[in-house]
Amino acid sequence: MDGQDTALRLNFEDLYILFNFSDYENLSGNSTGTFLIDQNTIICQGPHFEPAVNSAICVVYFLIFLLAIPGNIIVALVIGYNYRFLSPSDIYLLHLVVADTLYALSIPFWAVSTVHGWVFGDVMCKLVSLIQEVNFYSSILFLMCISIDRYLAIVWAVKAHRKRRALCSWMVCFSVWVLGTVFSFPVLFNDAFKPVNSDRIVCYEYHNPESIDQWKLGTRVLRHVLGFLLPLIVMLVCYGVTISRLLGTRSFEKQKAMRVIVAVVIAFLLCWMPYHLSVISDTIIRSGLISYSCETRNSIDLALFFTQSLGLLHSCINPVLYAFVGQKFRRNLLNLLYKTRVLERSSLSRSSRSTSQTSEGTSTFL
Amino acid sequence: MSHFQNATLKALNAQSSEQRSIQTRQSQEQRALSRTTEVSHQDKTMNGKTITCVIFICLTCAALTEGMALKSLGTELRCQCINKESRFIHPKRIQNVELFPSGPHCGNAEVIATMKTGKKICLEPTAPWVKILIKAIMENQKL
Repeated sequence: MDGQDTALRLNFEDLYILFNFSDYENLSGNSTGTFLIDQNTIICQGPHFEPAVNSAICVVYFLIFLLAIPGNIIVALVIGYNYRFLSPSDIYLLHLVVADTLYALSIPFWAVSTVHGWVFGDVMCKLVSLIQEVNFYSSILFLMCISIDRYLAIVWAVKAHRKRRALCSWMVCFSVWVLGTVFSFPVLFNDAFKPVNSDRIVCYEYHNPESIDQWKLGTRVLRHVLGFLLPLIVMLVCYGVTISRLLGTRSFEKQKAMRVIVAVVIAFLLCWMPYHLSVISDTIIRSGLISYSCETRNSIDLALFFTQSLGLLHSCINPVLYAFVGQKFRRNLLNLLYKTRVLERSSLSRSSRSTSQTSEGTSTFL
Repeated sequence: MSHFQNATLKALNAQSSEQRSIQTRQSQEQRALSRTTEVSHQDKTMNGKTITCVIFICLTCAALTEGMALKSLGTELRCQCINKESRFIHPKRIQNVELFPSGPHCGNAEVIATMKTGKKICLEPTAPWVKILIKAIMENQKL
């Protein structure tokens, strides 16, 4: 698919011949005087970065990747280790961690592509984009599920039969994955190709020129609504009611749980709100509703780029917030480390230890 | 292995400011490392951190040495033209004219003239004199 479109060129000599024989007099008309270039008609090229800045961005991407993978894997191990006492929130958290890990796996590809362009080919372009998109949606939907579960557990004090609750949450998880995959189908239109005005291969939406605008608008509305607005509203409502309920109690434990909740919502807003705002402003200038200058367009490009990186950061923030801030998680982690040490020292006495925690409460980790 | 050594050497010769930032980052990591080791389990984290450091340094070197060829940032593909010139420009001022077909980057075809001064200007494709140019370019292509 790459390199098929090239510009068609006409040189000065051809031009001169052309206009010697055409109705040149008519065309030149009143503009016989000096021609002043209108600065607004100069072509607009995208923002340029110094190579050092680009390398720095690449390194930052790798750092996010290196933070996200171990963080998420540790959380997954600790949850998996306590698999017998999983509350619905823990199950969602486990799936969230899996989604974030998969999402983080796509980061190195983008890191390399900031420096070299998309060098991994067509299939990888579709695959990496799909993995990223599926996990983008699933991750946010799982955050939403956790907020709903917190709400049900704290406000309504739902205590169904444990097995039935677990089965129900696994079904919810399954539907989230299915939904995430369905929402991500538009990304299969991504292709690795070389645009006419670029010397690098990009991994980007490849549509008919006639239908580009409709496609872009459609997929963006989907992204804003399902990937941001809906989860945000659900989270705000669920956590808002939960917090107002918790404020009534004097329990120190619950006040602490509230701190985690606030942190979660703020992190979500900080990481994704700027991105969605810049995409909305990009959609506005693309629609041609307002006139804009090259500088405006380039600053929107820059904003899109940096806010996108902020969104990537969300994949490594989740485990920190949901797990490391929660006291129970830290206790469980220490427990796990302690036990694996015991395993190393005397592997025979493994089964003699009995697990002391019973999580009849709302969640093992929050 | 020799590639990495090469890359490391090149990176060492590169701008010292970047070098310093790497060093500060490393020292930060080491400080963080010493803090965690105080708490518990030295040997495992030690190994993990060392490996992480090595990977990080290799990646930095790779990024620094090979990142020099970059042209522009490709987050969003866009049209090249925002405003278009309809006024007639005398051919003696123009070096060449290019016709960019529509594609995934832009929904409409764009006509761009490179002036003798090197400036690139967008031409309005519906202007009469530009129409003649487009026709000529298309015929030129057929030959």
